[in-house]
Amino acid sequence: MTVNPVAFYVIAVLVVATAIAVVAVPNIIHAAVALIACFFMVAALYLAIGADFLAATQLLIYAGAIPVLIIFAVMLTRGSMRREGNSWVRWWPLALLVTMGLGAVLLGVFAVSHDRWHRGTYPQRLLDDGTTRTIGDALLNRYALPFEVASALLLVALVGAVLLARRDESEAVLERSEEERRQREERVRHRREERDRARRARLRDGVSTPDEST
Amino acid sequence: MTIGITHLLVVSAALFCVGVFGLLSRRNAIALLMSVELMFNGVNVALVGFARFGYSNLRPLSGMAFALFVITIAAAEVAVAVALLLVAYRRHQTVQADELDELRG
Repeated sequence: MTVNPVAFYVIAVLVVATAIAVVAVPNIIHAAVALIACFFMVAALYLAIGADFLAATQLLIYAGAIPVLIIFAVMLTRGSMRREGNSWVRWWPLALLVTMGLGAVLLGVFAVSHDRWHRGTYPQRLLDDGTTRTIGDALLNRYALPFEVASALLLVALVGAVLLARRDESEAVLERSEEERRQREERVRHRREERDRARRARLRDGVSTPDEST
Repeated sequence: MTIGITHLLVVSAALFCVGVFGLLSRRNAIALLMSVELMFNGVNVALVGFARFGYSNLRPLSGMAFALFVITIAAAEVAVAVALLLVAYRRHQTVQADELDELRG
């Protein structure tokens, strides 16, 4: 089967454009929306080349679950956004240079050796059946062990995320001592201001001292 | 010109490079997370392209199986990274990556 070139080029341009929007937009929520659009476009790319199961998985996990987590993180760390000045580091032109160098190396490798990678396409009669059966066969026969390990990994990540995000006792103690320290400093500052104000009032009311004029 | 493996590899390289640029240049740690996701997607596009156009009779669609593993690991990574960011935010009241510099010598 040949891929429709027009559809492919349009989708490819949209993929890259939305990806650039993710890193080029200063507002983090706008970047998250661009990220969702980018994941949708990648799913469309998978559909365009006939990878139907991957497209569905991409929609479910990348376009559905991961942006929700990221937007939750943005909302929960909202306090740091308000005083967000510059969204990029000072030396971003250097980063751009490094990135363009990397891209040039990759494109050079593709230009030199693409003939050796092209080993004929996936057979049309299998594509008509969909790729799900073949992927399932590969996952449960050849890659059965990685498949099971992945389930264990997901469980560990779940438990780890819950453990990390929970407020434990030591952290509560830390926060309380931090709060006490802040209050103490506040009290000291307050007292000093009070004293200054009293001294200034005394100077204004009565005896003028030589250093009053300064 | 028919669409082949090279076209997909170019898209993949573009996605990966945009992700690298975001990772190097953004300050917000959540934006860094998004850039890592872009890089994962670039790798996935390459894997799917190899499964589709670098077909081998011996191991059909191995690339797509790999891509599924990558998606799994990306999901786990995001969950743990978001938890870490929340902890960092509670401790330091910031998620700007260049302000979390306690380990600087």
